[in-house]
Amino acid sequence: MRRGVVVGTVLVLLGVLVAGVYLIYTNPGAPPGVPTAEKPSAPSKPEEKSAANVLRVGIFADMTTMNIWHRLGPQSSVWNSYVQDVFHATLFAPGDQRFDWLPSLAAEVPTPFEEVNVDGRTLYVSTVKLRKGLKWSDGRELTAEDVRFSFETIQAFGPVELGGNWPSYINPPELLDKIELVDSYTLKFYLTKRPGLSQWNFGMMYAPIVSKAFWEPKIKPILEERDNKIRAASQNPDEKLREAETAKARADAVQTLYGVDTQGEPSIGSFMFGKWEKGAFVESLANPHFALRGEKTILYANGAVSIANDRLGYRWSGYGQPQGDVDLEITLGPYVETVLYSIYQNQDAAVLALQRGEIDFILNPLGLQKGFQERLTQVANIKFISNEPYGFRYMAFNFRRPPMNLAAFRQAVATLIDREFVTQNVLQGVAMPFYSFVPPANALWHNPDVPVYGREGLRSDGRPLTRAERIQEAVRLLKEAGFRWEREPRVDNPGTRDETILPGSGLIMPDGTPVPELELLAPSAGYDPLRSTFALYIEDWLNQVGIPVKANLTGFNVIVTRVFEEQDFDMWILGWSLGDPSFPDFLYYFFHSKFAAPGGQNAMGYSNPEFDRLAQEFIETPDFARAHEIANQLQVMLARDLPYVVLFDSPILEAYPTDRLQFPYTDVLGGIQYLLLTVENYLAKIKTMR
Amino acid sequence: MLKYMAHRSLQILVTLFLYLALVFFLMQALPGDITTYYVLNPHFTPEQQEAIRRQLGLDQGLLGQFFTYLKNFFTGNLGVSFQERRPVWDIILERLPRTVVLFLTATLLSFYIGFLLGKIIAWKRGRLIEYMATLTGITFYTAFTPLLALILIWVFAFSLGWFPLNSFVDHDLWRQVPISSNTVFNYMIVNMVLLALWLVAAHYMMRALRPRLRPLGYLVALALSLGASALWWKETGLGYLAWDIAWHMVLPVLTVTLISFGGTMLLMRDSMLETVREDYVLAARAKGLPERVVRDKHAARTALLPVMTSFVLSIGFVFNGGIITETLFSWPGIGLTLLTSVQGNDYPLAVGAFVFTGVFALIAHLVADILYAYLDPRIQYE
Repeated sequence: MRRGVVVGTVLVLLGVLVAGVYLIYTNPGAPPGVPTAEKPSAPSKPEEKSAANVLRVGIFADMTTMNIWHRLGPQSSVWNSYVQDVFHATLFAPGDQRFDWLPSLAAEVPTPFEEVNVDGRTLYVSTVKLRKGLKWSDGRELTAEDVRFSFETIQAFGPVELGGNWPSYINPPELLDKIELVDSYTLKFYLTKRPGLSQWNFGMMYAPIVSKAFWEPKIKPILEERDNKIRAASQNPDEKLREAETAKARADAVQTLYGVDTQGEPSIGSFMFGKWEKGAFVESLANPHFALRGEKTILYANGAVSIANDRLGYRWSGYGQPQGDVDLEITLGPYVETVLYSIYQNQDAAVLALQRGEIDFILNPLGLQKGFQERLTQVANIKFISNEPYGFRYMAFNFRRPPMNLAAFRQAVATLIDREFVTQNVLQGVAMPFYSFVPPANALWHNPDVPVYGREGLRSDGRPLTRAERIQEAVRLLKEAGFRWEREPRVDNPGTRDETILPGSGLIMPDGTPVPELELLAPSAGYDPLRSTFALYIEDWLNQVGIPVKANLTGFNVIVTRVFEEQDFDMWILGWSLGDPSFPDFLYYFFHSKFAAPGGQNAMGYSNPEFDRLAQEFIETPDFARAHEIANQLQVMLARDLPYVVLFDSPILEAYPTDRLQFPYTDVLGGIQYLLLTVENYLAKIKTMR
Repeated sequence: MLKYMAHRSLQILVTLFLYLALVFFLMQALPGDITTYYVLNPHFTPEQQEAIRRQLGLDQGLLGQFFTYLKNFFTGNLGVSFQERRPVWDIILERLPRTVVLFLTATLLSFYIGFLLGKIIAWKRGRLIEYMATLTGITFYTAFTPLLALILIWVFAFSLGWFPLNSFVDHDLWRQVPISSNTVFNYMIVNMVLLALWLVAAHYMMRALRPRLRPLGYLVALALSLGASALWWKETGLGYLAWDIAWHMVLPVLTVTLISFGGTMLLMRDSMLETVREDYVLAARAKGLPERVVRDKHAARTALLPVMTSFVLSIGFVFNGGIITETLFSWPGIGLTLLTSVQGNDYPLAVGAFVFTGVFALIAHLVADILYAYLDPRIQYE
């Protein structure tokens, strides 16, 4: 009995000790894990913040960082972008709907590059003027110092070392020689060569600007520590060791930069950071100093654009005389004071929340699944919007292996693929056939006049090729290239009810060797039923002409590893989202032979010297008309050489409640959500009637 | 006993090493790595991707990576997450409280309900209550977890609107307070620990009372503990936030409890059925003791042994969380961390999370063995 009392007392004392220690060393008002000796200062139940004027958005993944260097580096996920792109701004930005290249923080178009001689070196200089009166969310003014600091920081850490999007802002790193301040609002950019559109207009001018006052004290010690390490490493007599230590010092500095706490970082965008409850939500608050609030942008039918900001006394117009019919007029907000991004781990939950009116919109790069559309149609005032995607799903060949290295073989395969049949008859219009390497939705860069194998019949008499005609055409192409069969495929009674396809077998290559068993890698139905369906049909069609191919429906990561890292494949099916439509530089990054090494995007091993020359010129030319002309030529070359057979893509379906949200326009490439990624201050343009 | 404990600890260390190796090499066998992210980015050149591989230490040989990992593990360094660029420890400690609060509550509840029902249905064998409880328990036990969770969400959250739809906090409430939910979760854990200590202490102290006064004593102890809890939350000023979390826990806890109580109930029932055949139970009845006393004091205590073992092992797996439950209820704990880290080929985080949960499972095994010896004096370890 006495033992029980003793044990009980000891346990009570232990409990009191645990409670005491916890209460003394924690403070509910402090961030978790920050010990403090002060008495806990508990938050009193707050005055209710207005639930109105809040835009509620559902997203499917949490933020992985709030640090811009990390976010635009290795963590450049769409989810981070959805929330945080509105915190930062760039000198220039793509305009609404037409993606015009418009001044954002800049006041006007930079001066044309002039050739100058600096210390015996030839440099190219352009002057960029900033708008006056732009303010960070902490009330300080944006000056040329901030802009120079942003570029110098990218250079100091190295755009390649920073990774992600950073290399595209200064590409190649040695392109930017220096930036000179003329006054608080004027800068001179000195470049080592005359830059192309991709390097200047859609490169440097799209780089985000950060606050010098906030970042300099954090970055300086990181760079100092790195330089000390590099200095110490330089004493090492072993050259290899010296290089390794230097590289490590640089890499460590980048890692430290990624880890910098950004609490209190001022925003130059329409919104600023509010609160992040990890795993639950992120809150953004309207930036009280956002100087572009109320700014009017008018897009005229004649192509001209005008910008007027009464608050700043700022006027700008370009692309012709701003007169005549108006296509679109945008007045920048923000129209809401708060945006609450709720994180859902699955689409079901988010759709239920949308049904119940708990959220106003769902952000998802793939849009809504068709199945959810039916559920949402029962909800009052829900409007569905379908937009064209800016990407494509494709089939590709390994040029390193026969017979994929033979153009006739690839052309025969392309001829056999009936995109219309699968998209319309099998997939019931869920997907749409694509033929060109720049999707048709990007009308500016899309070239519709490219050769399409197996679709030529459409051009001549308006009807697609039949299966029999496709087989006959594929056989013709293969025969002309020197292929033969042990048993040639045959179509009996073509075009009649008794049409019979007799599959071929024993296909022999022009060099006399039999075509080996081939593998077509494609994502499984669980990952993408559309692509797996295509793969199975392609397998069947190719087998009909005696091409011994087997579709291997497997995991996405398996395909990526085998194709892009190991380059151990025959053919594969995957897809691309192409990002900013302003300049299709993927024509260079995907198909130039310099990216054919393991790990490169040109995993096909496609190599065409003429294509390489044109693609290089495409990326470097400062002449828009020339770039456009080259892009057309590149698309024709690709359609003829067929490193890819572009197959299809599916429209982006989105839904929103019309009684709570209004959009200034809903025709957006890639869906309404892409406004977030391509148009600065997108949220400022949403009106909420909540 | 000490010799046995040392022997078992050694065995567990060997198992831990094998477990570490298994987890590490399984992770390595997964296709792809962090560079696949960059492969899909058209702005990356092969040289840049190679630089990233070097930067992340992925250019080391597999064995080299394993030995580095072992060394780091035993020096308390679980590495830095590829995706979040934060120490794995930080991420685990951030997610752990959410998982512990949810699954500890659900585990305690399901075991208590299972124990109570199992005890009753064994005692009332052949009656309607046994068939009803067994049928219900087995139905839920064999239910497809996602389906059950979705039905509960649909009925109680969406259609009736009684409970919140998703997430673990009310976003409108929490966006107005300057603290993180983890602070409140930590307070909840401390509160639970204190309650448990107090109730165990009260149990021992009751022995000092006359048997007739003990029920009253237990009631007073319970009232005191609830009062102390209320005072605790008043002192911290976080009571309304804790209540909000508790409110969001109802549906996930209900799901886990419904699915798992059946197992405990059947285990307890079978154990009780064995026990009631024992001579000492017959002797107790022969002495004329009330049925409730024979059932609770004589039969159930002995029958509890396998249930206790199962409970302790389950506590070990509390730290594992539940991928399905956490996903469906948007409850970002260790289970979801495991899932996202494996999907994202975030080796340090995935390995760290697996190892962390594995260590707790191993510890639970050791505790279960020792507890068994403690609870059942007939068992002697040599």
